[in-house]
Amino acid sequence: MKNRLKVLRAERNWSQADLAGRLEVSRQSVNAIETGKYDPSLPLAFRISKLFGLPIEAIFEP
Amino acid sequence: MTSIKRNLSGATYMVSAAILAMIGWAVIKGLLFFGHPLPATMVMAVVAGGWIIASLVLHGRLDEVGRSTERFAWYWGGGGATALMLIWLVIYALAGAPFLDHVLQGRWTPLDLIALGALGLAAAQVMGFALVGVGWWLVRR
Repeated sequence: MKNRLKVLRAERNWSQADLAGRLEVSRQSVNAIETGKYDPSLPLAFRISKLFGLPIEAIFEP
Repeated sequence: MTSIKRNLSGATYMVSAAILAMIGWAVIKGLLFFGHPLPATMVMAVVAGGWIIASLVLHGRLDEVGRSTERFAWYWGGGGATALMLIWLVIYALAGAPFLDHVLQGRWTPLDLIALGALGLAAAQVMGFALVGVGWWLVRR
């Protein structure tokens, strides 16, 4: 699944570690999601959506 | 919505995998050394108890990617190791169990052999889990 996580993170000048801290996951998890190697669960997708203030479909696309 | 906890670091995974592999090997060596069911069972109980406690502590600190890794590693690593072990046992038995007498030196009872078999299977599962878990992490880190 593709996503805009890396772009959204870069727009805010956040490192992967920064984003990981805000989402309460590991940096490795953020990297796995950004690179499309792991699809987040719905609860985590909602956390990401809430953090960036965007609907889920604006961040993730099938 | 469930809370998402911080994941363990990659180094922690590596160290945990190495410790698990060493424990598995140490238990096998311990069983070979004792050669009697009671002390071997006690060793296995202590190791299993420590293992369960460590697993619960580690599991509680995993985030969802860590738990996904854990499930993947148990399914493919543990399951794969079990399948390979069973295939190897069939081949070994069909070959007439070479070198078994030399290793056991006639001191082992049937109960010892059953315990050793069970322990060997468990050790193979854990090693498979550790290997696949580390591989999964290396690919997705």
